[in-house]
Amino acid sequence: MSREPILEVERLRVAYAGRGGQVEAVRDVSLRVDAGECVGIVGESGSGKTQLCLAVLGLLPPNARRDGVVRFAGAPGDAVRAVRGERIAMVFQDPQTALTPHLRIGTQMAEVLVHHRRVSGPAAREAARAMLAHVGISDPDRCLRRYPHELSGGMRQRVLIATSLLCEPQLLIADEPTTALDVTVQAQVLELLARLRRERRMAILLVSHDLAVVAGLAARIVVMYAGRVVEEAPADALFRGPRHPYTAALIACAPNPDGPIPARMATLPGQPPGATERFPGCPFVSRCDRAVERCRREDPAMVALDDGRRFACHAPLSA
Amino acid sequence: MIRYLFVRVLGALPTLLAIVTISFFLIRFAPGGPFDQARALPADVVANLNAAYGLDRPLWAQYATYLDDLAHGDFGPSFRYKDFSVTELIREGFPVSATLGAIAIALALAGGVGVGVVAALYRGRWIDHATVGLSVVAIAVPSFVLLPALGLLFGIELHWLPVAGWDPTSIRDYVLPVVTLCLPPLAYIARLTRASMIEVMRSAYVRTAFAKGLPMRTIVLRHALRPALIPVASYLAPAVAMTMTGSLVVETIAGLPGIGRYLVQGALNRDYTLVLGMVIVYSTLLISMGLVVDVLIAVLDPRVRLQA
Repeated sequence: MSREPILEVERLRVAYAGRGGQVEAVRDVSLRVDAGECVGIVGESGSGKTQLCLAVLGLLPPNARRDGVVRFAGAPGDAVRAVRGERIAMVFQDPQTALTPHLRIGTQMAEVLVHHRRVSGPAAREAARAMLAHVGISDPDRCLRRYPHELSGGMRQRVLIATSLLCEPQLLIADEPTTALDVTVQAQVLELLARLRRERRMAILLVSHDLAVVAGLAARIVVMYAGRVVEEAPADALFRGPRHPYTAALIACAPNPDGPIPARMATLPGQPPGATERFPGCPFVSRCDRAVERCRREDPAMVALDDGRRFACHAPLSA
Repeated sequence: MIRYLFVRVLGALPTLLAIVTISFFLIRFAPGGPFDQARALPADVVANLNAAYGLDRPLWAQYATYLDDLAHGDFGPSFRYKDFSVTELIREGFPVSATLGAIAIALALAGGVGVGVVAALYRGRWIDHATVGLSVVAIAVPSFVLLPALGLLFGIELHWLPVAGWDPTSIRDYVLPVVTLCLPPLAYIARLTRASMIEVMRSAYVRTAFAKGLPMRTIVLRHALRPALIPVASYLAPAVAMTMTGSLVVETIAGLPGIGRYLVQGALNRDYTLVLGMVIVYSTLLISMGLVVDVLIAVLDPRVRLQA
């Protein structure tokens, strides 16, 4: 696999001016996605995953403040905006609301090609038809004439994925692409993403709160907590030996289909700190069973290991 | 669709009948009568007048006669405009009021939507603050202040436009009354459009459109504008009915031969038939505009199905 980076994010910060002071949604996040690679981002709601994706694409609302560097295929900062929808595409969480309700599917798909590729309307519709068939929609002609509300959730997500693929992007950012779907449809959509990555050598940044969703697809997993990266590792290494206590807790919470059925599902008690809260120490300290005195005083710095792993913890689990 | 329209039009008839009935008895139960004056008329004169207009008959018989005339398209004689039937009064005045009203509403719609969209897109900037501020002024300033002020400025000071008068062929006569009529609905539509446009621009599908890399123009015109117009469409029914039936103030000040004054004057004079005629015109307009708006909303949003 080639190791040329397609997306590099360096010390990205996203903040909002709120009533109770600055709300820091993303704090100092750095990550990298290589060409053709699938990187997973995992974290509970509010950990800054979606804000990170929006910041990468330059889609933050106008009242957001963004610092840091986002490089796409070597081009600097705002070049991302110019390739948005063409070389970088994004699929959003909720397919129920992500399609324009008053436009037919055909119109919403074709306009992407008409704008980016300057092709004619009929040619764009033909390409859209082919792409719908490619993502497994059985009657694409019918689907093109439909309005979004006439389709099921799974079909809508396929339409959104097909739309994002029309310009053959080098990177697909998928923000919780399966969260709003039934479990069976979820598996189909994940399978579709895996197939598209293989066939098109397209890099995927897969964001989910669900470790299981990311596990099957991502080669590398980035764990986010309270707006920052707390651990990053190759997927198998992460599951075999998590170093950060939060990652370990996430893995412990995932149900094990082979083990005995527990009387109670394992949960992680407590809540992450609010985005306006200021504290000197580690954001996970209040929920961490390994916390030592130092964790309250000092925010742990990122430790990078030579096998591509990194974590930010004063009292990591042993490898 | 045809079936839907048919059922809706048919369904409007009982509504109209109820409105006519309630209005008929309400105005009859109001104290006083059409022939009351500062100095009371001799009793035999009143008796003769009442007999001539059928007011001496029992109320239910008058009601039955009125409905029978109405069914034949006759609104009855006016009690105050001697020698005129209500049908004649409305037939002459309505085109004037309706023309002015239609022009005013069309301008208010075009202008209000345009201003509202621009304000929403530049939310928080000076152009947005100016829109919000000026729209409050435009809604709050009464027409009996605005029209004379405009007349003073453009008529008497600048000599650009006539202050009052009516010649249907002269566009210049239209300008001041139309501006006065159109400003409040324009401001209201601008506010409605601004609010719903801000909402729509935050929606998930507009975010998708941005993520697709589409230019701003396409996002606003193709993806955002149609859903943002739905609240405006709902406001349109009462606004059109109100504006097209004329304004007492504007028509009186500008000396226009419309029907705006009939409702208020009719009610004050106890001109029973004229009041009822105006109520019928107004409610017919309101009901039919309601139907038009429902169809319009179904056009704007394909999720809405017209089911009778």
